[in-house]
Amino acid sequence: MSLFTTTLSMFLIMNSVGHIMAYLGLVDQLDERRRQRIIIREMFFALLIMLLFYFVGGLLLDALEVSPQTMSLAGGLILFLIAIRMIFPRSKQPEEQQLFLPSEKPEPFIFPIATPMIAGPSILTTIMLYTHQEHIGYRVIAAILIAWAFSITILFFAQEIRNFVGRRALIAVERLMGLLLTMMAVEMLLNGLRSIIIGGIA
Amino acid sequence: MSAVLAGILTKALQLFLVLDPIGNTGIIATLIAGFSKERQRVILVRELSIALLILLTVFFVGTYLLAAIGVSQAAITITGGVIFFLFSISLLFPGQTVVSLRNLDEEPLIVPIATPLIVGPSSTATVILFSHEPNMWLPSLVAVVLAWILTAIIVFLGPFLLLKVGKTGMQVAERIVGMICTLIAVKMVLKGLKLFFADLQ
Repeated sequence: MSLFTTTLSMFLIMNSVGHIMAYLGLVDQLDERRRQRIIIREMFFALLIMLLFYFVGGLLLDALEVSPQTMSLAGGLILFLIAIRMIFPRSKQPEEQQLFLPSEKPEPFIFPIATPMIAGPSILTTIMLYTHQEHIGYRVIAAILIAWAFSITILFFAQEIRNFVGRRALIAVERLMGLLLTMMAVEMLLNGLRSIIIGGIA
Repeated sequence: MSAVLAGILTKALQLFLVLDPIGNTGIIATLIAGFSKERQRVILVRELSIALLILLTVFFVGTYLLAAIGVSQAAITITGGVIFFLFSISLLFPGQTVVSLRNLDEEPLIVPIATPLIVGPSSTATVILFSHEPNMWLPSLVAVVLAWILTAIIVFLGPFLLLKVGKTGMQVAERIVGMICTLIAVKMVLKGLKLFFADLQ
């Protein structure tokens, strides 16, 4: 896996484009300056959580003695399911509506923007998987940082992006991103299968 | 020459089936039924143009994008098959439709008519697959445009057809398309697996 591939898949899983609408819905009562402060603060919390998982996750998987083949198959499956939900976002809707109760809207603090929107279960699992797969650790950190930088830029200009392209175009972009992610997931599954067929079950 | 022509027609037919205008035209006609005749025409022309734009973009840039993210042809084919399979299941069992049709009070733009109804994940995957074949880009491009023209004609006739065939006829047609799509989907997955195993040796 190249740095580009790892970064791209992390960026796609963070799904900042897909979160623009939900984020704007959360902060629509606050003024411009307050919003900017909130998104920067929340994104730093998210980064902190992701880096924490980078260190703890690797240790955990080492302790469980998970083979690279298992990682590749499990990772491929998880990524595949995440991506399918981005393409066919049917089951996602009620969960999100549940998350953001319209009646009481306190200023978001860690929940729900930092986690589970940005540093959600899917990205944390992916970080653990990549950490275990790649033997060059700095690459995963670099991928996290680059993907995070793109995500914070997108969310910082969320209002401008939304006004410029519109809600429907955002949905379309999310679908296309889901398609890309599905392909990467299948590739990961195939890699796992390949190493089992060639090298036997470790 | 005739082999090239046959190739074009086969691909055009395959993409045409994936684009599924016969199954979609009923949904599309229902979606825009609330607008005036002239407005309906404007919407259809706009959505069909956007659909062609998406198809062409995917055709020309899709390959490079996929090469950049390191995805093999086997993975692309299997993905296309699996997504297509999920889609055709929703045609066969329309109760649990995969395509979300909520929030349709406003005039439809890009979503849901241009994408995902006309150009869905399955057709993008198919077009990427077409553009992946070496030395065949011109016939493939012709096939894509041909399939789009056929689709455009049927989608454009949609509101008219809905009156002629009636709802039942449309539903029957949709089931048949669903069956054909499922077959093609499984065939795509098998083709992808074949590529994968051929690559192993």
